[in-house]
Amino acid sequence: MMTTLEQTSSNLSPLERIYAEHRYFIESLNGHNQGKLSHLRLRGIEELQRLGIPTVRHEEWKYTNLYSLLAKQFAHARWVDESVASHIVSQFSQWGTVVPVVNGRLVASTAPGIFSLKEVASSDNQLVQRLGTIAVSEGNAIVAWNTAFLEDGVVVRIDQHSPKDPIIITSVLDTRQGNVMAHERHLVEVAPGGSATVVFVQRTVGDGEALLNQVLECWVGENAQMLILIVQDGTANSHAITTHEIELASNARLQMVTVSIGGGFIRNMPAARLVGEGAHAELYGLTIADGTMLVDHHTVVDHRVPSCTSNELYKAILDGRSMGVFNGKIFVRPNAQRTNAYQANRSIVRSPRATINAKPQLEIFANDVRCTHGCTVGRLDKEAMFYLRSRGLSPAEAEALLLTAFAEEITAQIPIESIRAHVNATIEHLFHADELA
Amino acid sequence: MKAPILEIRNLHARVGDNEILRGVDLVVYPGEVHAIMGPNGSGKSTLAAVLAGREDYEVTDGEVLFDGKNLLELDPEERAREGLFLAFQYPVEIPGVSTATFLKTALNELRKHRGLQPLDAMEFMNLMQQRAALVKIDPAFFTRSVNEGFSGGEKKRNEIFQLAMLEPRLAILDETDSGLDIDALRIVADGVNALRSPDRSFLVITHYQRLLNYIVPDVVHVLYRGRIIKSGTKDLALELEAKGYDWVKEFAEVTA
Ligand SMILES: Nc1ncnc2c1ncn2[C@@H]1O[C@H](COP(=O)(O)OP(=O)(O)OP(=O)(O)O)[C@@H](O)[C@H]1O
Ligand SMILES: [Mg+2]
Repeated sequence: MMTTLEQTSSNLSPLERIYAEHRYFIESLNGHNQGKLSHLRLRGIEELQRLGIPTVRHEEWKYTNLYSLLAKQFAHARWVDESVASHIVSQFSQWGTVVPVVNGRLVASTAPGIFSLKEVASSDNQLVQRLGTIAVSEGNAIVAWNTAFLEDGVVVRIDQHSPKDPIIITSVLDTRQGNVMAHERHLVEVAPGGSATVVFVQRTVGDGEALLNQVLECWVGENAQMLILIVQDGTANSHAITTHEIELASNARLQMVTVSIGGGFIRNMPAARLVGEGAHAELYGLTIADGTMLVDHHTVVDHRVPSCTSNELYKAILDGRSMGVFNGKIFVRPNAQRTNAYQANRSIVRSPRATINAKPQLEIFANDVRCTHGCTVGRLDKEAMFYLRSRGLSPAEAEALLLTAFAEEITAQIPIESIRAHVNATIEHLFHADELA
Repeated sequence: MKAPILEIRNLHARVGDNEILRGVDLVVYPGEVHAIMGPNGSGKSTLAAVLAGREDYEVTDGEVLFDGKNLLELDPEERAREGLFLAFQYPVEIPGVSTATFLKTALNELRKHRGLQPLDAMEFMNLMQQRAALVKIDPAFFTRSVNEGFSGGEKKRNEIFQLAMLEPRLAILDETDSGLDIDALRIVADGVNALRSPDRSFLVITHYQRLLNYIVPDVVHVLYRGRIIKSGTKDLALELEAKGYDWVKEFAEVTA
């Protein structure tokens, strides 16, 4: 099955390879390429052809070289071995309801209100009416790519009666048959007054390289609350491009915490659109990178209507030859009066070969607005280091204490105790490993 | 008589081209309290910082023996572990690090150096409660970030609390009295007096004779332009209070 493609693929350019795989993918659907999904797929591949895969000449991808990643020749994953999921599921089961997605396919829909996109998309289901309307292919190569390969993902519908258990969307990429890429498309809708927690984690099985292209479309209804946690703590062969687009109706609240403390190549593109008055969004991010890890956050907070508030804080600790990128866009549209938006980005660069590229980008088209940002890049505070050492702490202990404090400002925003503890323990381990080195 | 805990001989230190300490000599024996007075900018904090191991200062001449060991070749944390403590003139705020975590790490580090087991959570808590009572610190401070948002006086009191926790052999108090209200001054002085013992010494840097009514020194020194130009009994502090520094500066001119 894979052999025909594998034999010819090695001398294909990344785009040619994607087209070949796309033809193969459509054929493999065996005539099931109909209805809403087929229409979206077609638009996706057409848009991808028009836009191409972004290169470093593209302003938005200046520091993040997708082509060098694609040199790893990821194959669009067509095999699913459900059995690999079970031990991974058990790792996260204490956090909430685990929904495993193996190589892009949901292996079991386990709880009420949680569906497989593949299953519900076949009919003209109300559940999928927003599919392709929040994250759109037009002008966005990554979403177009994801949509061209649209097949499965998790569909969640939450209302006031839904269980409050966090939903742990667990992406498992199985590389035992070679390097893989998986496209996941998730759709979450929180009905007015509802409250939902969705957690994203990623694990790679096998020694190959794994690339996840994950797109979330999320609608948060009036007075509803949405908590999104993204825990990126994988191994160096785990790569991810995430696009999480969330629209907030009036008086809806979003809190999003992204912790990127492990993995290889990570590009996150969260977007919060405040489309109902009185909506509020909080975006937090923590990067801890070493080696050659790359963590790129391109965030968008879009104030489209009056009287919304947003708060954004991204922090990074960079060591080795790692690179951090932060691009924070805040849009305040012409009628979005009485907007209150804040953005801050703080980085600590610990090695001469580590870099941070930070760029706040505030585009304000209304006049009655409070919109501020702050950006700092530095080393650890010398005075604090001396103070701690003068009390008997070794430089390594003093650093670990200061770095932990720096990081915990973000992890403190994780309201779920078991997840916060896991993340803090991982961080402690990272800094402690330093201390022993 | 016992061997000195601290011997400073002809200590010279500078920042860039600015020579700040220009030949300091000072010997402190176990159990003694020495006061160091002197006009602003005379080098008192610099002396304290050089003793604590701050790297901004370059020692160009002289030597310092701490309990017979060459202090100047030790890192700041090694000095602390050997029993040196500096109560900072300007204590540093450390957001996100709780006083309890900080002190537990520090204390266990010192205990390890002394060949003692680390304290468990209960023992540590009990010790904190007991020592906090000594300087009347509210236990609510334990969970707050080190010095963050503390008032000036609270920061100073927190320094003495740390002193009480870490039980050094030589404590240097750099203007711990400035910024304290009358009651707090009393509390801090009582705390220090409670911590006085035959094998613990104090170097008390102050501008005010009043502190020395509470913490009675064995010796009073005047530091001027990087040198100790006069030493005397506690009566010297009274004399300075009455007459100012001009008359002692003449000693500097004579010896310069
Ligand atoms: N890091 C430094 N860089 C440059 N100059 C310094 C530095 N530290 C101290 N000095 C200078 O050395 C001199 C002595 O300063 P120091 O702080 O030791 O004085 P002090 O006796 O403690 O004064 P005060 O009574 O005002 O606290 C001052 O002129 C000061 O400006
Ligand atoms: Mg001073």
